[in-house]
Amino acid sequence: MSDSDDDAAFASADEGEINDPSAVGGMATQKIKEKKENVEQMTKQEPQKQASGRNEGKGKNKKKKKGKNGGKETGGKTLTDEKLSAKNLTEEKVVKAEERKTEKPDKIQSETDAQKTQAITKISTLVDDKKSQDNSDKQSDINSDKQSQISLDKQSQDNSDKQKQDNSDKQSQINSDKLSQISSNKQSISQDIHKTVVSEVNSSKTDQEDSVTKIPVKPDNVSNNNIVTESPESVTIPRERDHTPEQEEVLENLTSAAEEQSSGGWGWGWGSSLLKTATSSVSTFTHQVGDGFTTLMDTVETSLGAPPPEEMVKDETISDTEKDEKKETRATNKPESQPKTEAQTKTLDEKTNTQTAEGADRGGWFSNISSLVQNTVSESIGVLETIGTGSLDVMEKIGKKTYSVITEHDPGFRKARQFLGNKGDKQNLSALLRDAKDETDQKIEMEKESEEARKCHFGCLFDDYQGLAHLEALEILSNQSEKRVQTLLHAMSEETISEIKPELLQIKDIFEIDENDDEATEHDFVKLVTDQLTELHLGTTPDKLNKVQEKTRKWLIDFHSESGDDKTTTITRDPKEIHRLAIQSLAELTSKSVEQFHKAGELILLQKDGEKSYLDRSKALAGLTEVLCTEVGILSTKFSHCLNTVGESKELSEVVNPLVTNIYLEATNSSTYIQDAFQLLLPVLQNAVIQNSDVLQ
Amino acid sequence: MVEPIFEYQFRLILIGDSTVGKSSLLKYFTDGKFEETCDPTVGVDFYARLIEVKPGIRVKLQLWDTAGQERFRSITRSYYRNSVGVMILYDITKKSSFDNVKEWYAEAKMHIDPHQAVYLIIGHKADQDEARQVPTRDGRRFAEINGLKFVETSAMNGQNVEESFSLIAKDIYHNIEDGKIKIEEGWDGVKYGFARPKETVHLAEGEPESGGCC
Repeated sequence: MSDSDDDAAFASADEGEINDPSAVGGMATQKIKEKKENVEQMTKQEPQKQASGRNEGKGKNKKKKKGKNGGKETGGKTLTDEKLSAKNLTEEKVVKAEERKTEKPDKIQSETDAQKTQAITKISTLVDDKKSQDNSDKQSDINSDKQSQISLDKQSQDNSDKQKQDNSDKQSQINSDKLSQISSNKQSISQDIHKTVVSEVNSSKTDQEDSVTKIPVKPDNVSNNNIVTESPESVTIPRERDHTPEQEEVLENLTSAAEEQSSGGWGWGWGSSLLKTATSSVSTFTHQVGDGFTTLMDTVETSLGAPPPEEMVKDETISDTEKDEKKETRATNKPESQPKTEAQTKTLDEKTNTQTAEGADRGGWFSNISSLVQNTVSESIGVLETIGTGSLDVMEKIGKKTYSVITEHDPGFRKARQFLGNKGDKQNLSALLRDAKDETDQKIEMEKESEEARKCHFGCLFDDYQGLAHLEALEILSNQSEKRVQTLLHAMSEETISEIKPELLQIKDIFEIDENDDEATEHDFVKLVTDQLTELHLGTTPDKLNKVQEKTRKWLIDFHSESGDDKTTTITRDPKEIHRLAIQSLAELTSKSVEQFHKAGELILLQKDGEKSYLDRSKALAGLTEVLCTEVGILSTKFSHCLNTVGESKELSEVVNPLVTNIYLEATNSSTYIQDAFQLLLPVLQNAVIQNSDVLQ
Repeated sequence: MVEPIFEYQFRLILIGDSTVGKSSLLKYFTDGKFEETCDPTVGVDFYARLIEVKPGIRVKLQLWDTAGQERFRSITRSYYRNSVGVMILYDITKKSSFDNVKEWYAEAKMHIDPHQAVYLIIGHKADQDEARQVPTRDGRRFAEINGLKFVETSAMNGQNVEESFSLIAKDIYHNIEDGKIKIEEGWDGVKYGFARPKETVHLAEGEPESGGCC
């Protein structure tokens, strides 16, 4: 026993354990009976234990609260401690038995032995590591203190043969006895031991859980719930606090459960039956045990302090032996931390007597479970617990395992996961797309608006109707005519100039039209235009002008005729549409007017017959200009009236008013274009006068 | 309706003998329609269309459809000056119209000078091949001799109508890009469009080129 040599404390603890089983009188044949007895004792003892532990537990609870994560470690440590002790007691026996049973147990025990030695030696170095690993040494110390105190009580009880108080101790002793028996004897016996151990563990668990949860649930449910949901820390903490009320209930439940177990097989129902089934087929059992053990460990670890998934994966991949080693290292840390406290000295002694007591005190049922598992039937328990914990854990493990397998064997999975996981990016992308869409929509909207604005823009429409081009062409003609007039006049003698000057001046007078701001009165546009063009005598027809004007007037008439009943209306009542139509009509009329003047100018320059005096033509052009401007005024007034009508009926005055203003503005523009075109004809006419004058010839 | 955004406005003038099909060609180009009957043009008429000279760059073609009748000659001459592109049309079924091309070309060149313009010789009514009096090679040869481009078109079936306008528009655009044609005040051959970026100001500020290179 290298362990005992290295560490006196451990050695003493080992001895205690060794002694305990003997004291209990662990006979292979008596195993079953003892188990039953143990169960009974446990049930009886637990209430006492809990009651006694109340006072002690309060302080402990506070300490434990500080470090929840420490619970894990404590559990692991206790496990290792228990292992050590149990191993020391019956190393050879246990090893043999386990070797017989399964490979895993062999490994575990042999490893545990080696680990024990290592752990003892490394204790000093490991303490620091443990600290880092554990949340804090304080927690461990606290735990150890608590444990030591508990153990003290238990030990005293044990010493006085008050086994009732320390259920855990007895159980542990029983376990050790069982272990020894198992090792020495048959596998079937060991299986029985498993059962007993399991039952004991369950009972202890149930007790603790009951105390914690206060729920008087049947042992089966309790055990399941404990493993799954509650971590040892939480369990231990409330347990000790709520001793009397809860624990008593628990105890009662336990006693009842124990009675049931003792009387009619194991009250744990399917759990025990499973065990039995497992015994029948050892090989499968071992398999299940191994898996169950790993699952159990994982579950315990997660429940204790949620170790990082990496560790989980590692644990899964790593052999069980490695796990044991880790636990041992953890356990070794505890013993070191223990000496720090006063109770530690006591605990040392106590340890010898009751290792399991420590485990129970530290990690509660969990420690017991773990110790039991590792010492003897850990695998079977694991299976039980795995089953007990329910499908959730299994599912979880399967999921994690699957994930790890996929991750390890499919490098592309990471990318896929990143792709799938990067929902943020996706959102960003969608946001980008949305933004782009919004931008596009805005752009389209702007284009639409600009297009609409353009459709309502007099200048643009005027250009579209080629009015601007005609005006430019007319301007070209006018400029050329003016240059020519100047040139001709320069070349003329004063006599000829004086001869021709009166006609030029007369024409110029005609072109000075009075600005007629009077309200435009209704007129016969077609007749007047036709008359003026006839008077002009250039062969041009008023068709285009009349066409535009008639079209516009018809719309206005239709608008007013249908203004009464909106239902049958085929004419828009939209102010914007009316406005657009008004501007378009004005632009078209203006364009045709400019075109008319342009053609007139071209023809005046070309026609060299003297059939019509340029004075008359000038008057006709002036008259035409007046008619066109009057028409523009009338149209603008009528369109404004239409808008006002719509605005009044629909209470859209705010919308209509600017449109009306715009119409009047563009009407002014229109008149200006027409008069400009007319003015551009003056040089053309003068040019024609001079060219056609008798003087020049 | 002409769309609002364009880089430049090119003023093109169509000249040629009466009834060679200037108005028909323009109507087909702007309206996509061919009209059997067409009143003789009085003085000048106007058409407009946007055309893309380069991906993303549109120019507005302001098309001056002059009267081919001799009596309007004095008037139409006035309009040459402010044109950057001249399309000289002849009727491939009418030898006399082709013979006058040389005269039209000289007249246009004389009036446009000192400004630069792009000329395009167009043998029109190419659909009436059975009545052809002017072989294609004659028209092409004339164009090549004068360093001009040549194309045969038909407003009847639309042959080369789009291409002819695209050809001259691209030619003008490239000449502007190369600086051979400059945008000047007082000359309306090329104008900036509504959406013209400001950078084009530099073009106008460029050093004036010494007289016609041809």
